[in-house]
Amino acid sequence: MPSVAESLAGRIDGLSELRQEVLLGNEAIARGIVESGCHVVASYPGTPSSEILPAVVGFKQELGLDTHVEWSINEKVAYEVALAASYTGKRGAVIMKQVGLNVAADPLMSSAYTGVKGGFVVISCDDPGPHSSQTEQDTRFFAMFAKVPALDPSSPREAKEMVKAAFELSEKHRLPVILRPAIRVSHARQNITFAPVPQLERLADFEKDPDRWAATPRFRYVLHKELNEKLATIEEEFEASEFNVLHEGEDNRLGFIAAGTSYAVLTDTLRELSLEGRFPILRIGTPHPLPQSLVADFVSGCDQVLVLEEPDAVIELQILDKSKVLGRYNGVVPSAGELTPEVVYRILAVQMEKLGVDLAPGIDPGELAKLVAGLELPIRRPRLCPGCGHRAAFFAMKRALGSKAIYPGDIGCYTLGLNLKAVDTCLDMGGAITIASGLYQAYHQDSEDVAIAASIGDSTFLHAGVPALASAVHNQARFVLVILDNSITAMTGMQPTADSGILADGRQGQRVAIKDLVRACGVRFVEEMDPYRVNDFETLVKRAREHTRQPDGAVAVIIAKRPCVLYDPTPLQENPVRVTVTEECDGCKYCLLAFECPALVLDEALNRVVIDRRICVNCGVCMEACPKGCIVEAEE
Amino acid sequence: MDLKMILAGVGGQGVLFATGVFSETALALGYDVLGSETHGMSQRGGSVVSHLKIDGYESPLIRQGTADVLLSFDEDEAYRTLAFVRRGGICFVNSPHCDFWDNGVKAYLTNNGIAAHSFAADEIALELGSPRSANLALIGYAVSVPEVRFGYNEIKATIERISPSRFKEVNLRAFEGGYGRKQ
Repeated sequence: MPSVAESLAGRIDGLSELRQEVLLGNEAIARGIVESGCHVVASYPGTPSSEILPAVVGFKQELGLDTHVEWSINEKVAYEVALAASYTGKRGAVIMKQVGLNVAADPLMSSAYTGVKGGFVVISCDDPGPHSSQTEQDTRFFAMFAKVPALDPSSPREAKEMVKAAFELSEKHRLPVILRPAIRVSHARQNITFAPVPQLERLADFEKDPDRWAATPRFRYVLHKELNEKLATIEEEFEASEFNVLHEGEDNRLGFIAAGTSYAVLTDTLRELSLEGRFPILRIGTPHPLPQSLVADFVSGCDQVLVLEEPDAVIELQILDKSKVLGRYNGVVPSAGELTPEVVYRILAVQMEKLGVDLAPGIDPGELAKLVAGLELPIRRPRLCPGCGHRAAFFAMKRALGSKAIYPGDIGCYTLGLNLKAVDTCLDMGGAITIASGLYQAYHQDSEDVAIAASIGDSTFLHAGVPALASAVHNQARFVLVILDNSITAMTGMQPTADSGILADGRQGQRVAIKDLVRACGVRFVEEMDPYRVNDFETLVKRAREHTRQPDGAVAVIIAKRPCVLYDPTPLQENPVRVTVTEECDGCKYCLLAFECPALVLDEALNRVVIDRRICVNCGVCMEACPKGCIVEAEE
Repeated sequence: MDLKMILAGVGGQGVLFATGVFSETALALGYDVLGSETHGMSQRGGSVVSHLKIDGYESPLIRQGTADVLLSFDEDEAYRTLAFVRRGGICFVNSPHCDFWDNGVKAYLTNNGIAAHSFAADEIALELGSPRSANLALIGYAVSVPEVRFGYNEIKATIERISPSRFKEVNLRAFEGGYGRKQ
């Protein structure tokens, strides 16, 4: 197969080599994927990774590439689809957020042993903070766990170069390679220079090799030894990698080992404090396997070494002699939360004081924080949008089953049903259905009949809900399941679902209907309804609950169908219901608490709720939210 | 041009577009740009803060107390993000009241030599019948202040280039409306 360099001489994308654009980190990563000539790209959306695949689609369309691009139904599926391309000698990339790698852990572990043929890169975006995730887990630990190499970029520009290096590394050693951008790389913006896009002419050629691709445990032992050898060779190569850079310093009482975003934050902070060039810094771009000699030499030249990396202590853990190390294990670096510039500054300030290095006094943020806290500014917690169908469904569910019912929830915009007290648990993708099953069994064992109403979004149902539902039905669990079908993956930026039939590049594919899947799982009670019909929906939830209590009852499924208002506002534009609040409103706040539409606002002076016309979308559903009937249709 | 800017507001106020106006202008002038923006759960009605660092930075985040300029499209968000502004920095706030600041905070501004401008950008946008263009009116006003080292022509050219065609005209008028009201 031709190398990238050879192919470069072949087909050039026709653009000026100096074309420069301000790109989102995720777009830079996408550019790196197409500049690597990757053939198959698969992903499941999740913040902070969601923009990569659409950007690949953008470049594919702009350049007329024949890259296969797909939103797979979940991360495990995406991983395996891209991996199989590599089996044939083509290049594959799989993209996900860090918790998505939990779902794809099975193929990750196994493919490390079997190895790959064409370059195969796993892009897993971490979320220190966390900003939009259920954990702060560190993808680099997965690299250690699976014994595969990991690259950790500190900027969008470097991320693009690392994608290309990852493909080369993967192809050379026939191993999956992980690229781990953290959120401040994925969602940073930087000017990026475009390089030519090669066309890697490779025809699919799967060579049968059952001792590898279908290895039994006896051969797995052989493959494990092979993997260890690969890793040792890669560690040696990393000793001289261009992604590990030593910056000399004049004061070796303290050295820094820094990686990824933390390296970038450290560099800017030292510069702002006029300490640039004073202390030696070893920047690590290859956190696994750690180049041990490079690190040991650096450590031996310093009195103490402060390790800055996030979200966890992966480099620190691998350092063999920890006697000089300052980091998370001795509490110098906090063990949770993002290493923001403020946190890094505080860590530095402590160390500088110990070294007797004076820092120029800055502005005191504590003083202002106290003043602002005293202002009691309104809290802007995330809320469901005005007109969101999920709100209508949750409101009707609560009205039907009350606050004693248990409401297992799931991952998506509709986790915000929390605010309406219609979500009691949020574990992971698909967890609504499994937790509902387990709750049922736990209460049923005590002969207790408790109302359980689970909620899950359309995309999440397809992702992990189907096996959960089949298992629940098979094991005779009884609960109400509301599938909140807004026809799109809304939270992560409007990616199409399999139920819509639309493909990642906008073409029409084969539709996989949620209703058919529910029936195929053995569910006999399946009803579809627009949750805007709040009263009818409430009756339907009650009927579903009754079904679960019948002698021959089982799981009852309601599909709440209403398109996301951000994705498709046309139904509201065609049929607006303009509402107003009558003077009889006594400011009881019931609607604000139980319905929580951002367009319903308490006018303190009038002691009355008013409609915020700037954001109201005229859905009219809130007329149901006032028990006193004070929200009414406005007269023309 | 070594410049660190914070742009703040709430979802729907065009914080990201406003950031794009400055970053694209800086790039057109030949500077390296690096910034950070808010995505995901925090976009569902929450605060939106974007960081923009021009010329020679490694990290996309600005540390509190070091920003040269703050542009806030909302009073409350100005309070929330004021801590980013450095001693001697400058801030612009979209507010119908020329003096909305709390007295304690006002003393903080004076003590730290922070020049605080409030400007009724919403009013200009409403006059133009385009409430969502307030972001450009505030940019126009900010550009009229010499400490903000971007020229009128450069910014105007960027707005012309990056505005979606149906908003181009009203965006330019809002920008000029803000610029024309300079002190």
